[in-house]
Amino acid sequence: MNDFVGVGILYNRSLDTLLDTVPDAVDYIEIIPDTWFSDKGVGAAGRFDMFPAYEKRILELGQRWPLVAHHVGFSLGTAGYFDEAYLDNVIRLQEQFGFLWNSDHLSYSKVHDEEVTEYSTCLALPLTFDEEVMEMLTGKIGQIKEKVDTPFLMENNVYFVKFNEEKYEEGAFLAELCNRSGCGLLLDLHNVHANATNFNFDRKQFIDSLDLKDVVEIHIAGGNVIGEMYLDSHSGRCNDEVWELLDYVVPNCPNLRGVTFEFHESYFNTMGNEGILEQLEHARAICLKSKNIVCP
Amino acid sequence: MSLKEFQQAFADLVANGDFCRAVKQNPELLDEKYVLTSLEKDRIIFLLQQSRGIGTSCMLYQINRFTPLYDLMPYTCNILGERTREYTRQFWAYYPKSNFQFKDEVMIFSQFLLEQIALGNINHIPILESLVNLEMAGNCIRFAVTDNVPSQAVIFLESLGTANRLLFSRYDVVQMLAALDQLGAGVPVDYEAIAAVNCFYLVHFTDRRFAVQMLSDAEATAIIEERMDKAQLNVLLATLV
Ligand SMILES: [Fe+2]
Repeated sequence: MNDFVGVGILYNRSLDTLLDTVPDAVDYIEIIPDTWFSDKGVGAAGRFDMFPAYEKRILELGQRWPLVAHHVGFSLGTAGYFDEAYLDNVIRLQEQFGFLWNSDHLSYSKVHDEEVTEYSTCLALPLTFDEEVMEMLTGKIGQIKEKVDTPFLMENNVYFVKFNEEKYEEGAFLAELCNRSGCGLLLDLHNVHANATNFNFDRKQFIDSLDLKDVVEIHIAGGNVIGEMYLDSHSGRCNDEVWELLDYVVPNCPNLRGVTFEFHESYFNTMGNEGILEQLEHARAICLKSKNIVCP
Repeated sequence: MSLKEFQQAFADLVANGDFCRAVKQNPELLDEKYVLTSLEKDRIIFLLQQSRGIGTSCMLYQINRFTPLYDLMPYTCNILGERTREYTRQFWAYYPKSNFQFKDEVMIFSQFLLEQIALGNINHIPILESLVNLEMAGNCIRFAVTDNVPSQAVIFLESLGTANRLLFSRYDVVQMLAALDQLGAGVPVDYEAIAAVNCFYLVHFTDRRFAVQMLSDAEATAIIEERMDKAQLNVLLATLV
């Protein structure tokens, strides 16, 4: 069950030509379902609505490559609320598209009032690594795992501020969360790089603080400095530090199933198809040093 | 529920640089708005001391909130130019809570601009009202909004189908669109060259492009009163595709 699927890419429309002309460039495709449907809001009738053309496109992709779902709308870190209708929609999507696994983020991006009207925080805000948050997430992940058979992964987040007096260090928090809830880890190496750059810690020491048995998927990406901090802008090619981390981490993740390259569509022109292929080949070369790709 | 309040406070700070400065100066303000434990209050104070991080978070909030507006109302944002920032700030003060439905955000921003125009607070762009209405018609089609449209200038009628709207415009829509495409290429808009028309248009919107057909008063009235011959209406609609 834990076979390595290979190197994938986070889908955006700028990839269509590349995928048509060099389909072997990727072993799987990751999609963000939230960008393919409209969400009319909590309590609205027919709340999640996917345009038929989008549905057709996902089905087409699914006929050619295995699919993986990366959700951005659970907002599992939001205190005091679990969005059951969102989970129902994830179940529907899972039934329809047969994703190899599902994931979401270790953060909160929604707050809500007493009537549970949701408001967007407009960016993913970090969680405190405390017992209260641990218990809340464990409960919610349990609810998801009860209803969705595939692995469910949580992705380590990028953050721009730190909290004081937390019970856990980030690595220990992630390890304990996976242990208690049964979720897997989506280890975003670029987020590690961004946090290490902004908060001046040792990247490999951080990796060593994780339990690498938990890692099911790895994200790699590029970023840049805007203003005073290094951002996870997914702005094209991976940095050398990310490649170095990938090389360091892959051989030590016995349950790793995929390495996904993420870039934002608006940066397509900085790489072009050739540049994207280079990134995928580089990732594959690193993986093949210690993994065999097995078709799911 | 304290963690919920803490998360709300953090979200409110990131959404509002002025609030960050006020709380940094006077942390007691937190007690007026939120019920926090002393650790949570300490944590907010600690956050606000990290000026690089809180500044970056505030910047990302603004970028992430502005991006969909720009994406959904490119002509309006382009013509507002550098002042877009000023008006979006005012809008966020008026409507501080953004939700995940860009539809709501863009409709309320359009309504906000129309109100400011009506009040005379924005009066330096003669075609702005017509342009906001045009993009609102496009967004009504995009998001399948058929009722409670925040402008009387955009009309949905069953007979037109979901991909079309009737639009009342003070200025010639074809000339406006041409001028705005030029603006995209760096040519300033010559407002004198855009004819005042005060008439109705049929508007179709698909793949981010408008197709429009100017109507005579008689045609518009017949469509609104739903007494236009179906064949005649179909001929008009066919000109849009
Ligand atoms: Fe990621």
